[in-house]
Amino acid sequence: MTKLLDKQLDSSQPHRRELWQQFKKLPDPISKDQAWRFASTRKYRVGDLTSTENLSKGKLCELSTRSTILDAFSGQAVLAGNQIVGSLILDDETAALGVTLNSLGENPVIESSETLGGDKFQALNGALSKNGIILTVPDHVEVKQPIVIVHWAGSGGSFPQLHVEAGLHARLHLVEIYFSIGDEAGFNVASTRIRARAGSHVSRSVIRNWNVDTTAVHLEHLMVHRDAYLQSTNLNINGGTLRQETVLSVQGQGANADLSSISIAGEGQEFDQRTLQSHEASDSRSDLLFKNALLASGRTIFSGLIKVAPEAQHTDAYQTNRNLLLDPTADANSLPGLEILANDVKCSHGATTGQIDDDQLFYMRSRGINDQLARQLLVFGFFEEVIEKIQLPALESRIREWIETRFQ
Amino acid sequence: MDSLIIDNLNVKIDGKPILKNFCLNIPKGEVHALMGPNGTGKSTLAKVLAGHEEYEILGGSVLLDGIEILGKEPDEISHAGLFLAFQYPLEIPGVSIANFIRAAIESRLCEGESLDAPAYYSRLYEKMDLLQMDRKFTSRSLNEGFSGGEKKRAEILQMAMIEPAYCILDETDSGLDIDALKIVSNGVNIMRSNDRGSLIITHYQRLLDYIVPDVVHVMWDGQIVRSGDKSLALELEKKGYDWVKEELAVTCA
Repeated sequence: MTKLLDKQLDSSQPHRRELWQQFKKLPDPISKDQAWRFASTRKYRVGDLTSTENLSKGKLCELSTRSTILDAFSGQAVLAGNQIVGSLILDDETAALGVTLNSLGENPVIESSETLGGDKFQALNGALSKNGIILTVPDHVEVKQPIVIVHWAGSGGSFPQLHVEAGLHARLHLVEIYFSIGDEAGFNVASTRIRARAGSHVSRSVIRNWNVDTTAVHLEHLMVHRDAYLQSTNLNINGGTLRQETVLSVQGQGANADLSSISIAGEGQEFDQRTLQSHEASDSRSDLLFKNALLASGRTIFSGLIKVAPEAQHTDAYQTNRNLLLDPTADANSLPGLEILANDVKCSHGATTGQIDDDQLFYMRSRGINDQLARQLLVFGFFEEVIEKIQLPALESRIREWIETRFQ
Repeated sequence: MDSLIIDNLNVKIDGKPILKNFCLNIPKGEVHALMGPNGTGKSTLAKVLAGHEEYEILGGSVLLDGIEILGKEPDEISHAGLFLAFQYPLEIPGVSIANFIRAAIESRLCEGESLDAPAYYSRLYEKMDLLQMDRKFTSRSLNEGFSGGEKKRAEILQMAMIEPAYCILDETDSGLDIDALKIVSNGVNIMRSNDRGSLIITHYQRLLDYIVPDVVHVMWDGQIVRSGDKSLALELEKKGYDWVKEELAVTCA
């Protein structure tokens, strides 16, 4: 089954070889497994996948042009498949502050972490990733403009990796954007690791806007240290079958994190999000808000767990999943959970699934707004609560445009 | 032609008759007040006029400048020129006042026509100043977290921007303190014109101290039982709604 990928393994590297063996040994996901409950697991069979081939120079130039999402940025990396497009850019001011943006090239990263069921894919990503991106921000450095990482998926497998380290009291806004090059069916297995050191402030926006034939697994590890703040917003605008695993590890006293998400699932689309808010230190806070809008036969799965360790007293941890069903054939699944081992905490979780409110609709229509537009405004309004968290007006307007396109 | 004519309107909800042969004529240039105790059908009338589909219309007609609006879609009725200021305005999360009113105005443009944004904003600010609304409100989600007074001001702001031919104000005074009442009334008074007719639905006489009506109607059990000039409102205030029940209802029956 995996013979074709076998050829792409650089077997001179023992670590990769080991991960490859792991990948082959681990079973394919099945929906009987609680970690994959409700998921269309068949879609995640790797089968006779090949890695995305290297692109021609002309194609790379074209992608480079299409990658300008923001006018102002402090740094940018563009990747296509497993290849770097052009060069990694940091502006002079940012580079002078000691910020680094590098590629791992052929080198593997020797780090594996807890997954929420996607260990097979973590092994696959580790075995085959090339040109993983490493971004470091030194202590006390504030990166003025966002650092943008754009990834283009072609046909076949891409295995992007992103490692971010924000130093003590550093400030960073990171933007990760995932696109499809064209209509080819891509299989994207990505890994992002972010460490926010003590007192740092990291804001992250992830935009996934693929074609409908893309299958993707994205494993996210977010580590927040003492008194640091991390904001992570996932915008799943388009794609085929997506599995997003977000492990938030609140490791330091007074650490604070906001996780939010929007997913728009239409016909033939499935967005499966699994989250863990793990509180390992006292006086910390995390708040999760995942919102889904579902169109005809669209599917979403949200499975979230808040885990509070015995020593994590005075934890405030919240989790909310809201599903807006825009069609009776849509299917929203919600599995919220709590596991609290400390006795002095504030935790809550809740999931709601509803439709557009008739009274709101009547109110809007009584102002002359037609039914279709009124519904659209209510859906866009439903997303605003999440979009506003990004705090980057230029990106927010791009996101609104992408969302509007989705509803045309 | 220049009139909102409600003729023999009969409306049911859940099998229960609410409006019974209801008749009312509001010519342009006039402000009418509709008073009556709770549960006589005042708010039902307002919602039926605006096109709410929850009600079963048994018969009658509503002509707006000669055009039948009864049974039409709410947005069509709005475009025909009727505006309802809601008793309980809905919260619309994530849609700012500016964008909401903009959508309402744009819905009135002809195909191919586009909104003059700077002109729109200057008009919006002008009306907001009139209603003593902070400009910061333009970017706030409509009615979300607003106080009662702020919601009612936002209703009048929409009305002032849309400039309808006929305004129905459903219990606009409810939930207002005296200062807000003055501001809202001032907004309504400024809109009085020979090209516009208004119906003020209210439970209390106090709003009519600020918006002086041309005609006052008293409603009881689904129909108007007495009409008169503004002194009727004062009489009603003095004698109370029991008077309506005991005397007017009898003459009607």
